[in-house]
Amino acid sequence: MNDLESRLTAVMQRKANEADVSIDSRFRTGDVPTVPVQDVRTFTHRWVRPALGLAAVVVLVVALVAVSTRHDPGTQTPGGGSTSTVPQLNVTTNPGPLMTTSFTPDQAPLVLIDQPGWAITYVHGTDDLPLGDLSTDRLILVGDGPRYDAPSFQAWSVTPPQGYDLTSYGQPVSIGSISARIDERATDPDTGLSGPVISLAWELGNGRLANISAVRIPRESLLGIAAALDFSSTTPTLPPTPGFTKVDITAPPTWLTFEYQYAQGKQTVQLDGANFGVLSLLSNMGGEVRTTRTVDGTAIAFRPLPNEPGRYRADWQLGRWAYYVDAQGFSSEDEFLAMLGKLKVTTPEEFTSFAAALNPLVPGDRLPLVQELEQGIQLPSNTPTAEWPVSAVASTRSEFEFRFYFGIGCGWKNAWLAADTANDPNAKAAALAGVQSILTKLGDPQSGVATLPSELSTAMQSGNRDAVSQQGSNDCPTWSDGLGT
Amino acid sequence: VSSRDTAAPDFGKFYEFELAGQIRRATLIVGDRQAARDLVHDSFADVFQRWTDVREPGPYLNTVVLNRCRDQLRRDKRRSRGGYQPVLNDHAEHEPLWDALQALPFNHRAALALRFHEQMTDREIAETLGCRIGSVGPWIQRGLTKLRMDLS
Repeated sequence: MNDLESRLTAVMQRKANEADVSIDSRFRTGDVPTVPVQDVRTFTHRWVRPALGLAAVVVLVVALVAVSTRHDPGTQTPGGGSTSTVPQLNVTTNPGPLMTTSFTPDQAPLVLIDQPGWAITYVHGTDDLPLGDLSTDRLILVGDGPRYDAPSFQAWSVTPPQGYDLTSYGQPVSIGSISARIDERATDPDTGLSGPVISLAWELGNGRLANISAVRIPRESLLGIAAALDFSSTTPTLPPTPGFTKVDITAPPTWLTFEYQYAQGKQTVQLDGANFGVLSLLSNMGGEVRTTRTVDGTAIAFRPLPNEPGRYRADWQLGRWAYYVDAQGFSSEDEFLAMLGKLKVTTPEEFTSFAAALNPLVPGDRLPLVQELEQGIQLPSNTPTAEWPVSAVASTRSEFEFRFYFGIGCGWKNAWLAADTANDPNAKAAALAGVQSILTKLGDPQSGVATLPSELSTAMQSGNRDAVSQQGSNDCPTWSDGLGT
Repeated sequence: VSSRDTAAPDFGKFYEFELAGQIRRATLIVGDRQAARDLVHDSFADVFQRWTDVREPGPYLNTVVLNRCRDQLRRDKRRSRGGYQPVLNDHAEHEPLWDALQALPFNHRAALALRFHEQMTDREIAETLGCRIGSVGPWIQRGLTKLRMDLS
């Protein structure tokens, strides 16, 4: 090993040792760390969250493909613009406090903090997410009492992974004649609020497992409820249970989510929204124990974090929309709650002005941008649009631009691979020309937007199929009716 | 993906087993401790949602983390170009070799991290990155060459 390699090893070792490998505070810790199923979405709610991950890229490319499949390829010419039309928008234009303004599931609010000094630092939204990720095959009960101090109960069944060993989980417990496992915690380890928080699981005998998650239901009461459950249908059923109400978890027509981040000095606020009603709410809250606060007459699930001074979290639900706020740098709970009262639903025009530094795309802006981005580039034969989906959520121009060219690049990649398989040098040359038309349009091949087209162009010129194939990695769509296939 | 339902205990152990190594790897590739921690947790969320469908969660997690690292670098590049500065920046300390490493493309940086931190063979690196074994050597050599040029 030469000097540079030795130094490289040393600096990597040092940097690796400095890595923050602590368990996320939202994971429960203990002898057997467990992650309640409904907690998993909270992993994605944190500061400086990467703008969009694989799923979001796929969502965009799905949109591109969905559009492409509706197009008559014979009408498109390279460099031609879209002939898209703009469907009816569903963005609200009635400003008002977020805490008291309800929306239908197809309306995503544009929100700012109506207080001097606050700036928005991140805007992101998703639509047309596959609803399959949020299973409605779940029984949810809420108990009587103040909404977020009340007991909650969820039951569902799962197919465990191969090699799964139920006996590694929790402690043994009997539910009538059923041998089950139980994990019980008297208090929430982060908030110190009293639970109990209990998870139950047992084998159903058909290769599936019954799962129960409950907050603030005493052990013996929970075992009694569990004994009455019927798992013979996809969604477990339960006779009416005194003191509890069954919650409606009907899926929305389109699953929308948004994410905004704000900053003022050392104070930061993240606001997330999702339109899947109580499922969205419980996805954020999970097995965490909350308590109720009220802001402008709306009950919120408040989560104090005594071990993290200045940090506060809250969830609430209005109609089908569930909101989640993670705030840091606040001097008191009162200051945090006052800030919530300043969250203001605004118009696209005011939002655009408020977020001007981010060059936002509000609903309705996407079509003209697509037409602009399409100009001067060559598109795979079945790409162009007869109609462009109008987003019901906000995003930023740079992210959409990146994903647009990423999607087109993926289309040319697929076209090149198909041509390579067919041993068609002309089609391969056309694919390369298509990618290079993107680079010509972008001007700077070193720009971030040009990353994929630039690397793809180099790979195509090398003629190396493997080199082309790995471009875009798993971010490119794999479906058979996609771009360029 | 049938659903994100799963049984907790196995995933808990998997999380505990994989967490530190994945975050260290991601930190070396993306160069930012907070971003690395975040993207690894996002990756665990992905794996969790597909837990019942993934037979080999380790390699699957590797792929998801590396894809997110790649995505993070693309994003950093775009933001840098646009003058954007993250709210929380982890680059308070600068040293030439580390800074030069952060300037390398994803493939070069990842290959160097897997070789010089995790001491992987070319074959192991190829399997981890999902590339041809013949690509690994050139990536490492080009990466080292670029580091020498930047440090000279």
